[in-house]
Amino acid sequence: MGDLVLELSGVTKRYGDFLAVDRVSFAAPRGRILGLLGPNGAGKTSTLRMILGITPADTGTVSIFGKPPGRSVQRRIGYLPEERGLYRRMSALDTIVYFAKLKGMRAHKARARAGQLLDELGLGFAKDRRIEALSKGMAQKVQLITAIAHEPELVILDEPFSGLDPINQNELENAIRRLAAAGTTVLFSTHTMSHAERLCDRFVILVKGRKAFDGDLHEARAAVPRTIKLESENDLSFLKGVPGVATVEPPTDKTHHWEITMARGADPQLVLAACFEHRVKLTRFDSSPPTLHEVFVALAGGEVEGAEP
Amino acid sequence: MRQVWLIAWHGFVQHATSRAFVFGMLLLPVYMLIGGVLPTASQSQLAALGGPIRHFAVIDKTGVMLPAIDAALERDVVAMGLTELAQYASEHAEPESFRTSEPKLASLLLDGDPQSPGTIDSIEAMGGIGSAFVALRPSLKPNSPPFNAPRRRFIRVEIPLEVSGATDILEAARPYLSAEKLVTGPRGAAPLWAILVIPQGFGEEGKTAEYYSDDLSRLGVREFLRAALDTELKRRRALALAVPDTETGTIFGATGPIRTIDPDPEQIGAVSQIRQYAVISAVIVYLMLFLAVFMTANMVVMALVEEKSSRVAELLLSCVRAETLMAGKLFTGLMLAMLLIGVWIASALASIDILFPTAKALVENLMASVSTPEKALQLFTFFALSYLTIGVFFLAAGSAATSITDAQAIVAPATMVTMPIFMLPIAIAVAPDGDLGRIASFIPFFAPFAMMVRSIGSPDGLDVLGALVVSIATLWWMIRVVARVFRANLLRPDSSTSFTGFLRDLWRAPRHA
Repeated sequence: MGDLVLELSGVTKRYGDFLAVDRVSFAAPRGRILGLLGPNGAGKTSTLRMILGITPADTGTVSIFGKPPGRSVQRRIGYLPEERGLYRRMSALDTIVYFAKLKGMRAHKARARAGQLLDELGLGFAKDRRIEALSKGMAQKVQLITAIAHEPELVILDEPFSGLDPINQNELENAIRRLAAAGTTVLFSTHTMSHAERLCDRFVILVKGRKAFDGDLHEARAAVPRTIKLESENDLSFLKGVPGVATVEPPTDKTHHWEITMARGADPQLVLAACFEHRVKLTRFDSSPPTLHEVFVALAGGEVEGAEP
Repeated sequence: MRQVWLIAWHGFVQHATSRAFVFGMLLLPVYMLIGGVLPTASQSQLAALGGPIRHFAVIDKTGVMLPAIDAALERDVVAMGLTELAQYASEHAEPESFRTSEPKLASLLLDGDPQSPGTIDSIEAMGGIGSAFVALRPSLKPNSPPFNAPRRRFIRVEIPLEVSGATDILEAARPYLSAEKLVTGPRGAAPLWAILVIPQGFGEEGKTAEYYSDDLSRLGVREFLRAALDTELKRRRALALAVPDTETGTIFGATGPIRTIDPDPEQIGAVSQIRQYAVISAVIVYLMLFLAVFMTANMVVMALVEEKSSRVAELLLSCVRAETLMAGKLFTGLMLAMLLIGVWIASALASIDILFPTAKALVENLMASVSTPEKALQLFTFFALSYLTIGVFFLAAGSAATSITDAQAIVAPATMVTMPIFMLPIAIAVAPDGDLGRIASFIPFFAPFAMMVRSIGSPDGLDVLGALVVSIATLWWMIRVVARVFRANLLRPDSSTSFTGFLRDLWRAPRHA
């Protein structure tokens, strides 16, 4: 994978009797966007806190820029926590400058950088406003700027899109893309699959603290059997005999909707050809590759509470 | 270190610029000012009303003692004026000029005993207090304040007829002595302080005067009357023994004059009033520092709880280590405490000239006791060590909570646990260098607090060194133990613990430290 910014190896974390993270391993190459996906309680936030050095791992190793988490790498990381929290009575500009200074940036540079980022995200007019006077979306942008103002090489975003309206979500997506384009490695956790599908170069899916998948979108799609959606008034049970067809699900109501599950690597065109041979009249034939949501649901099985398409 | 400073300064600015803090900070000087000025105001008011004058009445059945009492009253006024004039002359007259221009008067005022009958007679012979002041005036230093002759302490009023004519004097006098009824004095109606009944044949065997008063704890009037009656009885005995009346004054005027000299005015004596000031000063300073410690420690703890509940703490922990955060918080509190104390001291000094004399003496005594850089440094060091010791404990308690309500449930009993540490130094203030003070200076936790009080005085160098070693060692151990609890609690942003849970964490922490 070349130049690795982050590498986890067999990391485990327990809180009392509860096993939050179970022998998780993955890596993030420089300049890429890595999505950490999983249903609620999958262990995403615990994993991120171990990467940040906020909580120590019980077993396994975390390596950031080749070093363990802690003081030596803290300044090279930016963090946006899941639960947003800023000093309510501080101005947006002062907040960003304060945290940038804590990360080692000089005051004048932090001030200039904060002003620039506020302008870029359309908040230049609100730089002197108190946080408590900002809308939720504006405060979230300030929090994002707080995470990136000190020009970190690795940015960790925990559920960055939660609570944002579609316009702000779109702006945030663009900001993340700009970061990656500038060579920053971005690791973000989410249970909203559409953002991950649009943004991420790679995905790690956690289920019940364990890693269920690690790869890119192509590999994710290949990891689950392809499903073909057909609509016809005819009986399609004959498709069971077509080579590569694993299962045939007849309609359960009056929609005439059939679902054909193919074996891994099988060609969907064989199903279409068989339908022609049997002179079946099709009103729908959809052999699109599975969405990330479908992959996620397939991998997570019953543990998908809270997952959004 | 930069991060510690950034956190400390950030917290300091946040608190110090908040209206609530400024209000709390300024409230104490306002209270101090009211407490320090009010007695002066009430005294001025009393003076305007005629001062704390005791009105008394006499029923003289001998028919001969009353003139002696009246004469004694006049001499009392002169004696009081003389005392004040002597004090005034010693402070405001140019001694050499005064001795040259008015040698006899200068000798009486500067060297004599102003209370002695001989001095009083001499001043009366010169024309009284007014004439003495006129003679003194040319020798006064430039810009000397005016001399205000004191008002009389005692005034004799006529006994109400309903009392003098009553068969049961005590019963008839009761409404007057309890101020239910007033008598008529020279400045109008006034409460009657006492009644003296002198029986016929007073001075003979078994004949005793009776003194009635509602307040037998203050016997100034009785002693004055006793002295007047004694003098008159002696004079009458002398006359009965054929001593010429012109000689009785000479006999009773003979006194042994006593000059009052303090061999070391800078040194606080063991039984002097200044010694009491030192004790009171130590207690006041300690209470101020104690208030500063508690006020700021609580503020920092509440701010920490807010940071924890609003998840700012998690963001901070992604920037700095828990120990750095804890140190920053501690220094925030210390800086706030220093600001509080600085403002309080500045307020006391700025208002010193309008304070009640006792309050003024307290402030002056306090400033004198920490006037050298060494003493100021010593006091600051032990104050800082006291603050840090208690601050570390409170921060750990605060870190265990996720809401202000939880914090109060933990911090309130934690305060009670630490109360003996705060209370003991008040007992030490009475005898700072006594056994209790010295022993406490070597006991962990107690040492910095005990030495904070003792620093107002002059503790032994060995005690200071011992207390310093004990305090630093205790603090180092506390930080090691508490930092672990602090860190663990901060990383449990969603869970709060009880007070007993907090104590359990503290108990277990050393094993893991």
